[in-house]
Amino acid sequence: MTADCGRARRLLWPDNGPRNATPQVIAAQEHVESCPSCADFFEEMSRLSDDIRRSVPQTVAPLEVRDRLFKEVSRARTRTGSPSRPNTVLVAAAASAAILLLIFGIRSFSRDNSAQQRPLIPLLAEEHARALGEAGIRSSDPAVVSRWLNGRLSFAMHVPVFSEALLRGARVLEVEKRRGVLIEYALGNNLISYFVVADHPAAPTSPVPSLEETAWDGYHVVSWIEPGLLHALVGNVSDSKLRMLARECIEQAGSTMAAVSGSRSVSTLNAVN
Amino acid sequence: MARPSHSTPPRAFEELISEHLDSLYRTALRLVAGRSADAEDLLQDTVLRAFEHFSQLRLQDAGRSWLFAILVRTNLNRVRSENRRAEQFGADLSDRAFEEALTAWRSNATPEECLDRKELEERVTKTLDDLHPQLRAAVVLTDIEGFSHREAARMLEVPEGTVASRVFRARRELREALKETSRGLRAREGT
Repeated sequence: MTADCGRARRLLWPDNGPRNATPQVIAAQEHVESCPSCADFFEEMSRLSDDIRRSVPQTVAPLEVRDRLFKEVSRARTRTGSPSRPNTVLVAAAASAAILLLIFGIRSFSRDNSAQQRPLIPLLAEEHARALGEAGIRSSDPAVVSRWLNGRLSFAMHVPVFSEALLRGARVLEVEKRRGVLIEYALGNNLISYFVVADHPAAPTSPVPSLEETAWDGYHVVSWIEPGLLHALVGNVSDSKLRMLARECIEQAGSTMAAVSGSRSVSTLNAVN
Repeated sequence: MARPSHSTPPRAFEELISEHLDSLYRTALRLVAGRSADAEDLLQDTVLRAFEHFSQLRLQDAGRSWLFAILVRTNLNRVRSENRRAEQFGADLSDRAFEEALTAWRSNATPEECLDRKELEERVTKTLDDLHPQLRAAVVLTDIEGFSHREAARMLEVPEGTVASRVFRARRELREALKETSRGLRAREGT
């Protein structure tokens, strides 16, 4: 160990990253190459850093914290208006939850045009949306997500597997006293939210659900109805992409339902007994 | 129904927050030494402050470091106003003192070689929580969240060298604490 060790370590700290090749830096690098003690130092520092990073629990924000925050933002938005800046590419699950509420809003308001004159209604409706106190699940395995949903929903549903979008996880929602699920997918840099909400009063008139396209707050929404359920795909991607995903959803749910009516053993169905 | 301008999708802020919420929460939790109620308060202050200044964010790609900078500065303001543990931190190291500390470092078995995984996680978390807020912020931003020393320096509003010496001191304290635990474990196993 020499007095140069401290100087060399300071000049080369942290151990990765480019530096200007000043005479001091070159001398420090030459010193470290011939100094086992300094080599050990940098190696141990690197391992310590890895240990620290890997040892800290990967805590996620609890649902109630998430919801409270977005509620506060919503209140701030009501007070001050919308902050203006270019759009980002990722779709937030929480923002999408609000959009789903707005879908409900659009559908119900269409029966009562006078309600469209009340701008606070969506915000009031948002107050009704709250998590059920259950943490969501983060997994790209549909079977794991499906097992987690089992018993948490009052309806049977299929967790779709998309060819282009990667499953990220799911969480349970309550929207206007209706229980539902939000399943998140990543499609490139975009997030896609797939909602299924129970007890929607409308029923389809044809065996093949018809897709309805909506745009709200800059997001594209493709929704469809089956008896007792509203499905919606929300994302900042093109309508055609959402329609393609919606068709995959419908096809997979159809084939799963057909299989279940034959064998009653498909693991991707879940329902409260 | 009230709808903001079509040219600026109004949910962009929520998208940004949602994307980074988990890591912001995790960092807030570490910055306040694991106290979840304080972490939630800090996070809420941060998000509302970010909302107010969202128009100042020009580069979309800088969103993460912008949010973390607000989080860190909001926390530092809170710490300063509470003036907690100031007497234990002392001054940042001068270059000479830092070099001496670096020279004095002796290689040792790394924590993972001494402790089992669960014990290691508990000890790292506890030791991080016990660090002085200035040291903790530096090590959380760099070692855990992966920001460069330069980015952390901007967030903490200190020179890059100061971040380096704080990270070094944090790691040194961490290693010492883990060494003590390791000795304790060995003594326990020996009895």
